[in-house]
Amino acid sequence: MDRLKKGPVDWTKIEGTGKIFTDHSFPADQTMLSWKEYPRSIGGLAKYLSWFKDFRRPKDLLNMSAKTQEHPEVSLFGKNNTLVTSDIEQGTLGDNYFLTVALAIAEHNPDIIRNVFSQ
Amino acid sequence: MKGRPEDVTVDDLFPIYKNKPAFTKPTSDGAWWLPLLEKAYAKVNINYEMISSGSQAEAAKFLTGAPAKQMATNLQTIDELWDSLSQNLRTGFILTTACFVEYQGLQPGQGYIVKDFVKVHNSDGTILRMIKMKNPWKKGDNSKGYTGKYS
Repeated sequence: MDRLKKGPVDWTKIEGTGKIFTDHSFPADQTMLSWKEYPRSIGGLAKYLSWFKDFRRPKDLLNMSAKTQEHPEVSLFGKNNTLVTSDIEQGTLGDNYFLTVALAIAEHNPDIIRNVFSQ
Repeated sequence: MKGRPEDVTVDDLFPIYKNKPAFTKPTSDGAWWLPLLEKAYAKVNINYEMISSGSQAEAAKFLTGAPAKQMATNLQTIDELWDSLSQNLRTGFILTTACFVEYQGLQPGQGYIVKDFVKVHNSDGTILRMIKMKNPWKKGDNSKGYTGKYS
Protein backbone atom coordinates (compact mmCIF):
# COMPACT_ATOMS: atom_id res chain seq x y z
CA MET A 1 0.00 0.00 0.00
CA ASP A 2 3.04 2.28 -0.24
CA ARG A 3 1.64 3.45 -3.51
CA LEU A 4 -1.34 5.14 -1.86
CA LYS A 5 0.72 6.72 0.89
CA LYS A 6 3.22 8.23 -1.54
CA GLY A 7 0.62 9.20 -4.09
CA PRO A 8 1.19 9.56 -7.80
CA VAL A 9 3.95 11.65 -9.34
CA ASP A 10 3.18 15.33 -9.15
CA TRP A 11 1.20 16.06 -12.29
CA THR A 12 0.96 19.78 -11.50
CA LYS A 13 4.67 20.14 -12.39
CA ILE A 14 4.11 19.16 -16.00
CA GLU A 15 0.77 20.94 -16.29
CA GLY A 16 0.87 23.35 -19.23
CA THR A 17 4.30 22.18 -20.43
CA GLY A 18 2.78 19.96 -23.11
CA LYS A 19 4.33 16.87 -21.57
CA ILE A 20 2.14 13.80 -21.19
CA PHE A 21 1.54 12.57 -17.66
CA THR A 22 2.80 9.11 -16.76
CA ASP A 23 1.81 7.72 -13.40
CA HIS A 24 4.89 5.87 -12.08
CA SER A 25 3.04 4.89 -8.91
CA PHE A 26 0.76 2.67 -11.04
CA PRO A 27 3.15 1.55 -13.75
CA ALA A 28 1.94 0.15 -17.05
CA ASP A 29 3.36 -3.34 -16.69
CA GLN A 30 2.43 -6.71 -15.22
CA THR A 31 2.02 -5.23 -11.73
CA MET A 32 -0.93 -3.22 -12.99
CA LEU A 33 -2.71 -6.43 -13.89
CA SER A 34 -2.06 -8.85 -11.07
CA TRP A 35 -0.06 -9.65 -7.98
CA LYS A 36 2.61 -12.15 -9.00
CA GLU A 37 3.07 -13.63 -5.51
CA TYR A 38 -0.66 -13.97 -4.85
CA PRO A 39 -2.49 -14.88 -8.04
CA ARG A 40 -6.23 -15.21 -7.69
CA SER A 41 -7.58 -18.60 -8.59
CA ILE A 42 -11.16 -17.44 -9.24
CA GLY A 43 -11.60 -14.67 -11.78
CA GLY A 44 -7.83 -14.31 -11.95
CA LEU A 45 -5.95 -12.95 -14.91
CA ALA A 46 -3.10 -15.47 -14.83
CA LYS A 47 -4.02 -17.15 -18.12
CA TYR A 48 -4.34 -13.80 -19.91
CA LEU A 49 -1.10 -12.24 -18.74
CA SER A 50 0.78 -13.25 -21.89
CA TRP A 51 -1.87 -11.53 -24.02
CA PHE A 52 -1.72 -8.20 -22.26
CA LYS A 53 1.86 -7.03 -22.76
CA ASP A 54 0.98 -3.93 -24.67
CA PHE A 55 -0.01 -0.67 -23.00
CA ARG A 56 -1.17 2.32 -24.97
CA ARG A 57 -2.94 5.64 -24.69
CA PRO A 58 -6.32 6.28 -26.34
CA LYS A 59 -4.79 8.79 -28.78
CA ASP A 60 -2.10 6.33 -29.90
CA LEU A 61 -4.69 3.62 -30.26
CA LEU A 62 -6.70 5.88 -32.53
CA ASN A 63 -3.68 6.60 -34.74
CA MET A 64 -2.83 2.93 -34.88
CA SER A 65 -6.22 1.67 -35.99
CA ALA A 66 -7.47 4.63 -38.00
CA LYS A 67 -6.33 3.05 -41.24
CA THR A 68 -8.14 -0.21 -40.81
CA GLN A 69 -11.44 0.65 -39.21
CA GLU A 70 -13.60 3.60 -38.29
CA HIS A 71 -12.93 4.94 -34.83
CA PRO A 72 -14.61 7.91 -33.20
CA GLU A 73 -12.58 10.83 -31.89
CA VAL A 74 -11.18 10.29 -28.38
CA SER A 75 -12.97 12.23 -25.65
CA LEU A 76 -13.71 11.93 -21.95
CA PHE A 77 -17.51 12.09 -21.95
CA GLY A 78 -18.39 11.81 -25.63
CA LYS A 79 -20.14 14.20 -27.99
CA ASN A 80 -21.62 17.26 -26.24
CA ASN A 81 -20.64 15.67 -22.92
CA THR A 82 -23.60 13.34 -23.09
CA LEU A 83 -22.66 10.12 -21.40
CA VAL A 84 -23.64 7.13 -23.53
CA THR A 85 -24.83 4.21 -21.40
CA SER A 86 -25.73 1.72 -24.11
CA ASP A 87 -23.89 -1.00 -26.04
CA ILE A 88 -21.09 -1.19 -23.49
CA GLU A 89 -18.38 -3.81 -24.03
CA GLN A 90 -16.95 -5.23 -20.86
CA GLY A 91 -13.78 -7.05 -21.85
CA THR A 92 -12.09 -9.92 -20.06
CA LEU A 93 -12.37 -8.69 -16.48
CA GLY A 94 -15.14 -9.77 -14.09
CA ASP A 95 -15.89 -6.26 -12.91
CA ASN A 96 -19.39 -6.07 -14.31
CA TYR A 97 -20.75 -5.17 -10.88
CA PHE A 98 -18.65 -1.99 -10.87
CA LEU A 99 -19.53 -1.00 -14.43
CA THR A 100 -23.24 -1.63 -13.86
CA VAL A 101 -23.28 0.79 -10.94
CA ALA A 102 -21.23 3.42 -12.80
CA LEU A 103 -23.64 3.16 -15.74
CA ALA A 104 -26.68 3.30 -13.45
CA ILE A 105 -25.35 6.50 -11.88
CA ALA A 106 -24.61 7.99 -15.31
CA GLU A 107 -28.11 7.08 -16.41
CA HIS A 108 -29.68 8.59 -13.29
CA ASN A 109 -27.67 11.80 -13.21
CA PRO A 110 -24.63 12.20 -15.50
CA ASP A 111 -23.47 15.20 -13.45
CA ILE A 112 -22.43 12.85 -10.64
CA ILE A 113 -19.99 11.13 -13.02
CA ARG A 114 -18.85 14.41 -14.58
CA ASN A 115 -18.09 15.78 -11.11
CA VAL A 116 -16.01 12.71 -10.24
CA PHE A 117 -13.44 13.86 -12.80
CA SER A 118 -11.54 17.00 -11.93
CA GLN A 119 -9.82 18.88 -14.72
CA MET B 1 -11.91 5.31 0.47
CA LYS B 2 -12.25 4.31 4.11
CA GLY B 3 -15.24 6.63 4.39
CA ARG B 4 -13.47 9.71 3.07
CA PRO B 5 -13.53 11.22 -0.39
CA GLU B 6 -10.07 10.97 -1.98
CA ASP B 7 -8.59 12.13 -5.25
CA VAL B 8 -7.24 9.29 -7.34
CA THR B 9 -4.84 10.26 -10.11
CA VAL B 10 -4.33 7.95 -13.07
CA ASP B 11 -2.71 8.31 -16.46
CA ASP B 12 -4.28 7.07 -19.69
CA LEU B 13 -2.11 4.04 -20.44
CA PHE B 14 -4.38 1.01 -20.85
CA PRO B 15 -3.58 -2.66 -21.40
CA ILE B 16 -4.28 -3.46 -25.05
CA TYR B 17 -5.26 -6.71 -26.71
CA LYS B 18 -5.72 -6.96 -30.49
CA ASN B 19 -5.70 -3.17 -30.94
CA LYS B 20 -8.49 -2.71 -28.38
CA PRO B 21 -8.43 -2.10 -24.63
CA ALA B 22 -8.21 -5.46 -22.87
CA PHE B 23 -10.87 -4.57 -20.34
CA THR B 24 -13.72 -2.07 -20.64
CA LYS B 25 -13.87 -0.49 -24.09
CA PRO B 26 -14.59 3.18 -24.69
CA THR B 27 -18.26 3.82 -25.49
CA SER B 28 -19.46 3.77 -29.09
CA ASP B 29 -18.93 7.54 -29.41
CA GLY B 30 -15.31 7.37 -28.26
CA ALA B 31 -15.79 8.44 -24.63
CA TRP B 32 -13.22 7.06 -22.17
CA TRP B 33 -14.84 7.90 -18.81
CA LEU B 34 -15.73 4.28 -18.10
CA PRO B 35 -12.24 2.75 -18.73
CA LEU B 36 -10.75 5.63 -16.67
CA LEU B 37 -13.10 5.00 -13.75
CA GLU B 38 -12.24 1.31 -13.97
CA LYS B 39 -8.54 2.13 -13.90
CA ALA B 40 -8.91 4.39 -10.85
CA TYR B 41 -10.86 1.63 -9.10
CA ALA B 42 -8.15 -0.90 -10.03
CA LYS B 43 -5.47 1.46 -8.72
CA VAL B 44 -6.95 1.82 -5.24
CA ASN B 45 -7.49 -1.95 -5.17
CA ILE B 46 -3.82 -2.54 -6.13
CA ASN B 47 -4.38 -4.05 -9.57
CA TYR B 48 -6.97 -5.04 -12.16
CA GLU B 49 -7.16 -8.64 -11.01
CA MET B 50 -8.27 -7.54 -7.55
CA ILE B 51 -11.43 -5.87 -8.83
CA SER B 52 -12.57 -9.01 -10.62
CA SER B 53 -15.87 -10.03 -8.99
CA GLY B 54 -17.44 -7.99 -6.22
CA SER B 55 -20.72 -6.53 -5.09
CA GLN B 56 -22.65 -3.71 -6.70
CA ALA B 57 -23.23 -2.15 -3.28
CA GLU B 58 -19.47 -1.97 -2.69
CA ALA B 59 -18.95 -0.29 -6.07
CA ALA B 60 -21.74 2.20 -5.37
CA LYS B 61 -20.16 3.17 -2.05
CA PHE B 62 -16.81 3.67 -3.77
CA LEU B 63 -18.23 5.83 -6.52
CA THR B 64 -20.59 8.01 -4.52
CA GLY B 65 -19.63 7.76 -0.86
CA ALA B 66 -23.32 7.32 -0.16
CA PRO B 67 -24.72 4.34 1.73
CA ALA B 68 -25.71 1.40 -0.44
CA LYS B 69 -27.48 -1.82 0.32
CA GLN B 70 -27.52 -5.24 -1.25
CA MET B 71 -30.82 -7.12 -1.16
CA ALA B 72 -31.31 -10.84 -1.68
CA THR B 73 -34.48 -10.84 -3.73
CA ASN B 74 -34.76 -14.62 -3.68
CA LEU B 75 -35.39 -14.50 0.07
CA GLN B 76 -38.32 -12.10 -0.30
CA THR B 77 -41.90 -12.83 -1.26
CA ILE B 78 -43.20 -11.16 -4.41
CA ASP B 79 -45.15 -8.67 -2.28
CA GLU B 80 -42.16 -7.78 -0.12
CA LEU B 81 -39.99 -7.36 -3.20
CA TRP B 82 -42.62 -5.20 -4.90
CA ASP B 83 -43.03 -2.99 -1.83
CA SER B 84 -39.31 -2.36 -1.40
CA LEU B 85 -38.79 -1.89 -5.12
CA SER B 86 -41.58 0.64 -5.58
CA GLN B 87 -40.66 2.48 -2.41
CA ASN B 88 -36.98 2.75 -3.36
CA LEU B 89 -37.69 3.87 -6.90
CA ARG B 90 -40.24 6.45 -5.74
CA THR B 91 -37.70 7.87 -3.28
CA GLY B 92 -35.32 8.35 -6.19
CA PHE B 93 -32.72 5.74 -5.27
CA ILE B 94 -30.59 4.16 -7.96
CA LEU B 95 -31.33 0.46 -8.34
CA THR B 96 -29.33 -2.17 -10.18
CA THR B 97 -29.81 -5.89 -10.38
CA ALA B 98 -28.09 -9.10 -11.40
CA CYS B 99 -28.87 -12.82 -11.48
CA PHE B 100 -26.93 -16.01 -10.78
CA VAL B 101 -28.42 -18.17 -13.54
CA GLU B 102 -29.64 -17.25 -16.99
CA TYR B 103 -33.27 -16.17 -16.96
CA GLN B 104 -35.15 -15.42 -20.21
CA GLY B 105 -32.04 -14.08 -21.90
CA LEU B 106 -30.79 -12.14 -18.87
CA GLN B 107 -27.22 -13.26 -18.30
CA PRO B 108 -25.58 -14.22 -15.03
CA GLY B 109 -22.59 -12.01 -14.43
CA GLN B 110 -24.22 -9.03 -16.11
CA GLY B 111 -25.94 -6.21 -14.28
CA TYR B 112 -29.07 -4.36 -15.32
CA ILE B 113 -30.42 -0.97 -14.35
CA VAL B 114 -33.90 -0.85 -12.78
CA LYS B 115 -35.74 2.19 -14.10
CA ASP B 116 -39.49 2.01 -13.53
CA PHE B 117 -42.36 -0.16 -12.38
CA VAL B 118 -46.04 -0.51 -13.12
CA LYS B 119 -48.90 -2.56 -11.74
CA VAL B 120 -51.60 -3.50 -14.23
CA HIS B 121 -55.04 -4.64 -13.09
CA ASN B 122 -56.38 -6.88 -15.80
CA SER B 123 -60.11 -7.00 -16.55
CA ASP B 124 -60.22 -10.62 -15.39
CA GLY B 125 -59.12 -9.58 -11.91
CA THR B 126 -55.50 -10.72 -12.21
CA ILE B 127 -52.67 -8.35 -11.46
CA LEU B 128 -49.62 -7.99 -13.65
CA ARG B 129 -46.54 -6.40 -12.15
CA MET B 130 -43.96 -5.18 -14.61
CA ILE B 131 -40.50 -3.75 -14.05
CA LYS B 132 -38.69 -1.67 -16.65
CA MET B 133 -34.98 -2.40 -16.82
CA LYS B 134 -32.20 -1.17 -19.02
CA ASN B 135 -29.65 -3.52 -20.53
CA PRO B 136 -26.53 -1.38 -21.05
CA TRP B 137 -24.50 -4.20 -22.61
CA LYS B 138 -23.71 -4.62 -26.25
CA LYS B 139 -25.49 -7.62 -27.71
CA GLY B 140 -23.18 -10.43 -28.70
CA ASP B 141 -22.16 -13.95 -27.78
CA ASN B 142 -22.43 -13.33 -24.06
CA SER B 143 -25.32 -10.92 -24.07
CA LYS B 144 -28.71 -11.53 -25.61
CA GLY B 145 -30.89 -9.08 -23.76
CA TYR B 146 -34.32 -9.99 -22.44
CA THR B 147 -36.01 -12.60 -24.59
CA GLY B 148 -39.08 -13.34 -22.45
CA LYS B 149 -42.71 -13.01 -23.40
CA TYR B 150 -42.89 -9.21 -22.93
CA SER B 151 -39.75 -8.41 -24.90
